[in-house]
Amino acid sequence: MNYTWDFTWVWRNSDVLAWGMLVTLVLTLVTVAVGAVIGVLVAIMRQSRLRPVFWIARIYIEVFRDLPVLVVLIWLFFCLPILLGPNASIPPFWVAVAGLSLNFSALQAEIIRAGYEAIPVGQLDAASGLHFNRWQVLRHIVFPQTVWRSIAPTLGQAVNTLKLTALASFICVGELFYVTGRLIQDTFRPLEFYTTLALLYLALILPLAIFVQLFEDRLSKRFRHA
Amino acid sequence: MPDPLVKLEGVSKAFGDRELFKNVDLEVSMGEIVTIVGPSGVGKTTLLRAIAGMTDVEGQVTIGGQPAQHNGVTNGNHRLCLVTQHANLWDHLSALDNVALVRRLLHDEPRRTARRAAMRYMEALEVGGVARQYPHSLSGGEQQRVSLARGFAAETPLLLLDEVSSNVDFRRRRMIADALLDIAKSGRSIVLVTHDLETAQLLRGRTLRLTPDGLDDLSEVDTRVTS
Repeated sequence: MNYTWDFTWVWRNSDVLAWGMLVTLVLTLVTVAVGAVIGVLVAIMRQSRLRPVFWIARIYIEVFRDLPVLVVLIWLFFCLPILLGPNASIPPFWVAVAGLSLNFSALQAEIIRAGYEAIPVGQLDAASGLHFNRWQVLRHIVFPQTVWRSIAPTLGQAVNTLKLTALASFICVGELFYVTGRLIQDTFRPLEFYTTLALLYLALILPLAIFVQLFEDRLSKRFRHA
Repeated sequence: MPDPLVKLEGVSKAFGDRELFKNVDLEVSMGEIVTIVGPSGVGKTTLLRAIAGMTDVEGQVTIGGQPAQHNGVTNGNHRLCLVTQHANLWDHLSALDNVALVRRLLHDEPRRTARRAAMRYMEALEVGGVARQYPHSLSGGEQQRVSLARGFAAETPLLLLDEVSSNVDFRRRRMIADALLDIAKSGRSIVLVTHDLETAQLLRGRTLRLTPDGLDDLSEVDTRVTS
């Protein structure tokens, strides 16, 4: 192979790549924030004794957990404006937030449910034996333990969401993958830019993944009865 | 004679077709220690849960003249507390905070005061040294004593204990027995379930044996053994 690597192209366009990274990070953070709030609501609805509420949550979780994120993004970007009318205009960034949040919230609801169900029944029995009232049990035992047990998988899912943001390039959101593609079209240097792209994603994801792993190890010690 | 704190009249329990026990009558006075013994599976824990109002039974169960409700965790009832057979400590709290939480919630104590009170109970049961540790790092015996400290900290008129000395050596069993005798001296009542006659003898209270047909008084037998 007699290809001559030339990373000066990357350096000269580093401001564009930095902007793409920033958009990727903001898209991830907004998605996780919106998705977490919806996820908590759906998780509460999932525990409801009212059957219609329970089923709405159940269907929501199954649909948005199972549908490919790209299909949701494409549908929201191309089909939703047609249904909303000719004047409807949703910026691609917010379409991406909506599509990614639907997926994140469905998974988040299941993470919270799993965290709740992992509390050993005996611990609730002990509270019952001490005659704590229902609110005291929720406030001091169920809520903190559910949160603790949900943090590590939620962070793991946030890392996955960061990876999924690359799909937003399909609907023209100027995140890292999209701007890299545009730079390749302009410079015809795919090897340099795709290699840099991979390294930049690793630089974003690896520290987070290591942090999640350390956090999980620590939690698994504390909750080893679960 | 004052009314008994605990009164069971014709209490029976069955799981489907399987009858566990029937026609159990029992009265426990203030400051009395009652030990219920019997082989595994006879229904000792179920009987204790019936007194705590945590399982439905046929017959009458009254605590301080009022019916024991099947209340589970739904409403606060601070007349009694049940210390379960397994320690079941709350994983997210240190050993100290496991005990202090009881003081905070049942006695409305601020955190600092609750911790001080909790430490006293833990030191009395020789687990003060592990107060800052989390449950996963405690031995089975330590967990059981922290769980017992939680029960002591509730300071309810009636203390129900389910096999709370099964994981501890003889010296500590004696220490627990002494602590229970002190509690009884302060006027609080204790009903202890165990399959271990040794503990019953240490407590020197009334010993009853649960059978499918009710409770037999073994106190005379115990007196002979201990004298």
